[in-house]
This record gives sequence, structure tokens and C-alpha cells, in this order.
Amino acid sequence: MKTRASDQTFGALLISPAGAFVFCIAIYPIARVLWLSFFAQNLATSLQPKFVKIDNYIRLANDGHFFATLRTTLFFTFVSVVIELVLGLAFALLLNQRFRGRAIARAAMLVTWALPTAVLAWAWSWIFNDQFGVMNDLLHRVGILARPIAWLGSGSTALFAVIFADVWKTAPFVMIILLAGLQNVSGELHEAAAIDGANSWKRFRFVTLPLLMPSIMVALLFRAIQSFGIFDLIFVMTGGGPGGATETLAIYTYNTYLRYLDFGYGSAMIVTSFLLMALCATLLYWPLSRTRGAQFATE
Amino acid sequence: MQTAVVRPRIPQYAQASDILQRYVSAALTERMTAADAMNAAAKETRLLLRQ
Repeated sequence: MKTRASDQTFGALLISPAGAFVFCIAIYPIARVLWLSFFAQNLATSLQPKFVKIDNYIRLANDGHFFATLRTTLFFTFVSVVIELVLGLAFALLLNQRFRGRAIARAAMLVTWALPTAVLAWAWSWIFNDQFGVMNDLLHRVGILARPIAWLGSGSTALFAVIFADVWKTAPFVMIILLAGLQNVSGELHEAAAIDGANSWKRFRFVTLPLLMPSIMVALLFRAIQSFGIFDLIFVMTGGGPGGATETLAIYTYNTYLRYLDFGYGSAMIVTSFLLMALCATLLYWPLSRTRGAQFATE
Repeated sequence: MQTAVVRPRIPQYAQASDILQRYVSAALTERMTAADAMNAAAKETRLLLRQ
């Protein structure tokens, strides 16, 4: 018993640096923001915290712009994640085949994901530029567009442009996760199914896809959480414009905090989006924990 | 200089300015009628100033 107690002390000692780290970068900031969300602390109060109970949350519930940015965020997340999953799966299946130059093709696919987001966002904003952009030039040459479009100038096309850029950047990330999953699918199962007379579609549908489900859920969870908090790409490409059409929750929160200096209200916004994100993650994680390969996700 | 007007010296100026920009943009791109846009902007700004 004595050794066991000292083992436990030693164990606690060993995890204490990691514990302190988590406390500093996660627990303390979350608790601080939660605390601050019950105060008014902005330029009107000379940046002094003033206790206002749940006024910030009442204000949030009446803030039409908050709900507009929430809708934009959900739309962006849904569309980009669905396209990324489909494209990522297609690329993963393709790159799982044996062919000459496969290693080079796999490495080349990952380049877009490895690029710094701010750099590629800037590149995409030039690609979609109305006068000098490659996109307009290309579509004009093949005869699809008669006149150039100001892609980032109107709401719907700007949203399309940022989704396009996000898919371009992160489909390879989905691909790499699904490729790892595909390599766990045993060839024997395919062989057995083929002998039983299953054609390639049926082998994909009833052998590959069920075994790939845990990987798909992991990719979905990662991408959904990251898309929900999207900031960098949109901030650099459009700054949330035009007229707030591409403004996501993260950008509105950034504006409230760092441009309007409204710390109390911004904190209420963060707490609300944190809870919404936790809810979404739980809803996505629930089917994941029920799939057979649940260990895969927690490992 | 005689007709120059100083921007409002209130703490919420940055926010009020953003609200107005958003709705002016909506009106200019014909996503809203001018009257609707201005009414919405006024409503949101009032809500802001009441804080």
C-alpha cells in the first residue's frame, strides 16, 4: 500500500507540468471569459468592470447581427465540410490505388494544406479579383463569362469564393485521414466479397464504407469544429465583407473585442459560441462513439 | 472647415459606424431598399446606445 501511495504522488508530480499547461491555456481563460461575461467592461464604463448580471446575454438574444453571423457560420461549415468530405474521399480512394508516381502524387496533394492560411487567402483574393483575377480570365477564355464578375463584391459570390478557397486548402486534410483509414481495410475482405460475386460498387458500399466510417467521423469532427471557428481565411480574403455577408461568429467576436473594445459583451459571445460548438461536437461525437472503431478516435 | 462635422465623440462610435456601413452597403447593392436599410440601421444603433 505504501509503495502504491508514493507511486500516485510520483504520478501526480509527473503530470503536473502538463496540468499547469492546460490550466494556463485552457481552464483559466475559459473561467475568466465566463466570469467576464456577467460584467459590462467597455469604453462606456472606462474599461472598468461593472457587474450587470445576465444583461450581456439578453443583449445577445436581441442582436440580429449575431444571428446573421451565426447563420453565415453554419452555412459555411455545412457546405464546406460536405464538399471536403466528398472530395477528400474521392482523392483518398484514388491515391489508395497502385500506380507509378503515387508517392509524389500524395505529397503534392498535401502541399495546399501545408501552406500558411494567410498567404493562400491573400493569393485567393487576387485570384478572385474582378479586374486582374485569374478566375475571371479563365472563365472568360473558355466562354462561360461574357463579362467579369466582382467575386468578392457581392454577398453570395464572396461566400462562394471563401468556401472554394477553404475546400481547396482542407480537402487534402480529409484525404490524409481517410487514406490512413483505407489502409486499415484488409484486402482479404475485398477478395472474399469479390469471390462472392460483389461488383466494385458493392465492395465499396458494403466493405470499404462501413470500415471507413470511424475515419470519416473523425475527419468530420475535426473539420466541423475548425470551420465553425473559421477566422483567418475569411478575415484576410474579405474581412467579413461585403456588407457583413461573409462575417462569421469568430470575426464578429474579434470585432467586438478588439475593435469596439467591448470585453463584457464579447465574452458573452465567446461563451455562447463555445456552448454551441460543444453541442455540435457532442451531436457529431455521439454516432462516432457508437461505431465499432470507437477506440480509433480516442487513441 | 465651416461645414466640417466632427465624428461623434462617443464610446460606441466604431460599432455604430460598422452598423451604418453594413446597411449602406446593403442598400447600395440593392439587397434592401434604402428605407428598410436605414430603419434597420437606426433600430440596431438605438439598441447599441441603450447599453
